[in-house]
Amino acid sequence: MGFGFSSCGLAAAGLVVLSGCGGSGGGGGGSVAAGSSRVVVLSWAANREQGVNSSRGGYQVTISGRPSIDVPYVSGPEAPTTLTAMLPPGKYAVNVRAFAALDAQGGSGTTFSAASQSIVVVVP
Amino acid sequence: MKLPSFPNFAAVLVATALALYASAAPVAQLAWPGASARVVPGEVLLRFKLSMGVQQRATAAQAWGHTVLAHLEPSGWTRVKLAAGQSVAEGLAVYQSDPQVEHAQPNYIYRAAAVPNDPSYGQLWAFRNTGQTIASADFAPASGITGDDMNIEPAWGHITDCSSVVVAVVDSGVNYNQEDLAPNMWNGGPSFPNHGFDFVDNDNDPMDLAGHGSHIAGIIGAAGNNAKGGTGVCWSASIMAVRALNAAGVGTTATIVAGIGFAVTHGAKVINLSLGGGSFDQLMSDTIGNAQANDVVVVVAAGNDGLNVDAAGNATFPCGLKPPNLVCVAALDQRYALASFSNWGATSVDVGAPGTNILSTYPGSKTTIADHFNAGGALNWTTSGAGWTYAALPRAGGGIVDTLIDPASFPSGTYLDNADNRVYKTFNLSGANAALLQFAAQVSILSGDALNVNYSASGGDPFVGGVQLIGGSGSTGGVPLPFSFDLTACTGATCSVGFQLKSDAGGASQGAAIFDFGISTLQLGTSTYRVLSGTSMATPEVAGLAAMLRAYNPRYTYADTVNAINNAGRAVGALSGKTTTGRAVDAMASLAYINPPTGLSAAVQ
Repeated sequence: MGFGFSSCGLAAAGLVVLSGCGGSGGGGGGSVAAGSSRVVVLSWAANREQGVNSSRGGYQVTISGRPSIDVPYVSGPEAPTTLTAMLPPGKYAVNVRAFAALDAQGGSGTTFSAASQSIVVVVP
Repeated sequence: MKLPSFPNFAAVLVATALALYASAAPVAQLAWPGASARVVPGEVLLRFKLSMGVQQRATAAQAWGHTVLAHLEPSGWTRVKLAAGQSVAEGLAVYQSDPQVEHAQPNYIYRAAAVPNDPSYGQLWAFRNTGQTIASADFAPASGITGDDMNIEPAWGHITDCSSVVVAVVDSGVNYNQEDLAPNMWNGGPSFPNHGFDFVDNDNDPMDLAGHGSHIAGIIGAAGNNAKGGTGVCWSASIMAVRALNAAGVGTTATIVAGIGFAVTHGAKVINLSLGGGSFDQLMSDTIGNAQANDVVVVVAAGNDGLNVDAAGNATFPCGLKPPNLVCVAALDQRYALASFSNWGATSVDVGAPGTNILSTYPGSKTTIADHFNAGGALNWTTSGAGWTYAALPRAGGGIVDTLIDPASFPSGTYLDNADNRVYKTFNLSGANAALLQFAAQVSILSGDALNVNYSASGGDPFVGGVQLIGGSGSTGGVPLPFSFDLTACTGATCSVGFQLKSDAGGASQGAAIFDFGISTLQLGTSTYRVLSGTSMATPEVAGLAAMLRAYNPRYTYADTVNAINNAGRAVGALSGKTTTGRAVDAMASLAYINPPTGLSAAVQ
């Protein structure tokens, strides 16, 4: 598994600039209209698996029409549970999956959770 | 994550440089393992012709859009990354037609597995099913199918110590001195020096006088890798002994809820209830609800009636309560079929686990004194009154059975009015730590009359100063029923047991027939093991897994744990439509399971 940070790079720690990025989307279709982008802060409850909250663990956020974004564990007791993105006006379906480096055969392959319940984010 | 070190286990870890299926045959005739083999996706291992140097090999791979990852010297093999999205099968097929390649195979995955050094481990088919035949099996089939087990060995490569999670065995007690249980008993401190409590006798000693509880405790946490006996799901554990069932394996709402309450109060996070009853029990429901409120997982047995417990009239409890913190377990046999005795239910029973021919710890040695009521065809019990006699009667299903009957014409005719007919015998039960009276009886006693069963620890007529085990009028419906009673209070040299038929002048009925009489005694020991079958044995495998999951993930809630058990199990055809999940527990898959994130929200600034 690769950590698929946007090729647009990071504007700041935890901030992923999505507007103007290319590439195929990672989710269902979303409508994008002209207008200024807005900061959207996504957050979720921390998973309690130790693998999610340790090296090679973390979360993967899917925003419709965009490549998935990895939010990996860095240090401390938990992996980050927020993601800040810049989104142009439109309606987006968002969900998040957790992952860890432990597979059902006992090896260090990555396992993903099922997706969280999706939410709809409307950027006016 | 730093892996803990595990001394003295057989680790099987092989690098990828081995040529498993090398042969001199043409590439087109390569064979590779079936679909169950696990391989690194997107990679193949190639053996090019010996005359090809590394650059030539790289060029050959690139011609297919592939990339050389490594040259595996000195084997001469090459590890190649396939094109994006190309499957291993597709990659291998490509090289079938490449005359530069002599051999091609997947890059197989090998895992470190932990296997304990316990001498009886080879008999623990639930942990490693090799198709082995189980010695002293009590259920057919006694051998199974390789691979049909809990998939626990890979899990042991990550965790064997569950002792941070207290597991309460609410049952007949635990022999906390058994050699494979002693290291893994809960430390109850000075208040509970015997690792739990006894709600049957209301004392501080939950010693197991039946056997059931100790067997269950061993499945959960018999000490692993200590070169003794077998091992439990957890090699290291913290087992709380809660005695709520007597030596006959019988308890009440009062004793069981008290036991559950004790477990919750003193920090158990998993409770094993290998027990059940046929009636909805509000207090039991409330007690398990309190366990839920305290974040406790409760694992219960589905029962051994071979019934669909979702059908009207068949419900068994607490399985049928279905709160979110409860997992109800059916039993699988060694071929991963639903054991014929196991209850099932598409809405009540959750998962299956191995439950036949399970070897585990036992509190001591049991012997049975079987009595046939006669010597040379003549009754050799003491009688008073004119009713009781011995007869050799036909048994339903064939054969003859030695029977104690009153009246002599049973089942024809009726007993006499105004009778006080007694029959008794004195047994020497000295040296026994516990005793269990068992017999079958077919009874029809009119209201106002009584059939009484008594014992006396002083010997002699147990109806003079003795203790009643059961008494009164009633009927077994024209069929014999089994009865068992805790006779532990009578373990001595002079234990008399007797039957009394008392009648008034108001008419009579058929009377009583007693057969298959025996007194089973238990002598406690420290190194006994036994094979048993039942959903009682399947349940602690899941309880042990719950403890393992909570120990591996210290912040896990009951909901996380139940989800991991239910959702990560292995789909088994025998459980489809007969359990809520259609799955058998899979320890490693549950350990790797990740709950879906919750609470996703967005704030547009």
